[in-house]
Amino acid sequence: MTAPSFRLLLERHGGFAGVPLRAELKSADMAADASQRLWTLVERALRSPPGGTAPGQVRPPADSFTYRLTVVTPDQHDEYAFDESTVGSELRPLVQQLEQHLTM
Amino acid sequence: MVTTPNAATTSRRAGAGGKAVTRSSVACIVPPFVLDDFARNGDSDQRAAALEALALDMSLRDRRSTAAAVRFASGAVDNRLLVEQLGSPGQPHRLIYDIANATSGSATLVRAEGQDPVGDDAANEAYDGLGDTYTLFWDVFQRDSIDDHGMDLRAIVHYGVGYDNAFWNGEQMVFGDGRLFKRFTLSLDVIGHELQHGVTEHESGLLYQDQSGALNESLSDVFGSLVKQYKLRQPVSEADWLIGADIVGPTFPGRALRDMADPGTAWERDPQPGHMDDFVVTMDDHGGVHINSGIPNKAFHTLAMSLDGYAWTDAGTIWYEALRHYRLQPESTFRAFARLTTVVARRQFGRQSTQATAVQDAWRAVGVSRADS
Repeated sequence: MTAPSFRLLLERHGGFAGVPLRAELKSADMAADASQRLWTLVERALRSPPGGTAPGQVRPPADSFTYRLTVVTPDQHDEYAFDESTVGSELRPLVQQLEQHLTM
Repeated sequence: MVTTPNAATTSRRAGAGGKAVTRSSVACIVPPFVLDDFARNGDSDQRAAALEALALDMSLRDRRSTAAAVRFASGAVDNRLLVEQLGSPGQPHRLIYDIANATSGSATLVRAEGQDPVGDDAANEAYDGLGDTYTLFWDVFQRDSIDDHGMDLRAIVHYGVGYDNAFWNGEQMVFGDGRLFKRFTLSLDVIGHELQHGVTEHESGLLYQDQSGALNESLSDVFGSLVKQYKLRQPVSEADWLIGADIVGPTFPGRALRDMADPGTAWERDPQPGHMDDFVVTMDDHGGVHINSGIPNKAFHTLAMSLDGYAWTDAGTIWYEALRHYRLQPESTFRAFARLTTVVARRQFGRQSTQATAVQDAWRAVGVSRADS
C-alpha cells in the first residue's frame, strides 16, 4: 500500500535511567522511498495492535521500558501504550527504527 | 527471551571439588518466598506447615553460618563435608555471560566464579560489581545471595546494540552497552540496584506498578547506594547519594540520574519528588516507579543523615529487616513500609530509642506519615 502522509511519535519512559525520551518522524520530512519503507514497518506493527500482556508474563521485568506510540495520518490518530516485554516480532522493527531517533 | 545454560542449577552451588551439589533440606525444596506466601495467606493448616518449614529453614541458615565460621576460623577437616553439602555461604557464585549484542537466544559463559579476568571490561565489571554487592549483603546482613540460599549470580553483558538500560528479568541481571549513556556495568550502584530487585522479588514480591513499584525502585536505589558506600567505606557525610553518576556522559544535562539527598535536582528535567505533596500520577513508567521513588529515597537519606556514621549499619539494617518483614505485601504502600520500619526500629533499638524516633521523623519529613502518627 502506498504510504499516506503520516507522523509518528514514540515516547519511551522508565528503564533504569528513568529519563523520558521521544522520537518524532514525519513523512513530509523524508524521501519518498524512506517514507514508504517506514510505513511498511508501521503496517506490520499494527497487524496486532500493541499493548496487553505478553504470554506467560506475570509481571514486567524490573527497569523495563514503557512506550507510547502515536500514529497520525489524514484518516487516523491512534495511540498505543505498551511495555518493553510485550514488544513482539511484528512491532520490534518499528520500535528499533524509531529508537534510533530518540532524543531528550 | 534470553537463556543461559544450566538455568536449572540456580540455587545450587559447586562443592569444593567443583561438583554441583544440592542441599538436602525440605526447606530448600520449596522456595522461602512460597513458604512466606503460605504463612501469610494460607489457611490454618497451610500456615502451620509453612511456619514449621520456615523454622527449619532458619535452622539450616544457622548451621550454614556455623559451618562457614568453622571453616574460615580453623579449616577443620571434619567440617569439610558439612560445608560442601551446605554450599559455601559467604562466597558468591558468579556467572557472567556475553550475548554478543543480541536480545534473545543463548548467551556464552565468559567468566565463572574464581576465574581470572577476561579481555572484556564489561564482563569484568559485572563480575566485580556482583562480588561487591554480595559482600555487602553477606557482611552486613548475613544474607547469602539473592534468595538467601546461595543462588547463582547471573549477569548478561552486551545486551542489544547500544541498549541504554539494565534490568532484572526474574532470573538474572542484564546490562546494555549504552548509547546515550555509558555502558551500565561501569556503575556499582547500577549493579547493586539490579541485584536488589532480585532480593525484593524473593522477599516481598512488591508489584512493579504505582506506589508499590516506586517502593520497589527505591529499595534498589537505597541498597545500590549502600553497596557503593560500603565498598568505599564512606560515612553518610562523604557519600554522594547519587544514582547513575558513573554512566552519564559529558553531554548529559546533569550530574546523575537521581539524587537521593535532593530528589528532582540530579538533572535539568529530573521529575522526582521528595515529598508526598508532589507525588506524580502517571500511566507511564509503570505508574511512575522511577519518579515517585524519590520520596522513600529521601526518607532513607534523612534517616541516615540523622543517625550519622555509616548508613549500612542502623539505617540499612532497619530498611533490610523491614523489606523482609512478613507484613510487607506485594501491594504495600509507602505508608505501610513506613510503619514496618518503625516497628523494626522499635523492636531492634527500643521504643524510645534515637533510631525509632529518627525513623518516624524521616517519614514525616517527606509527608508519608502524619505529624500525629
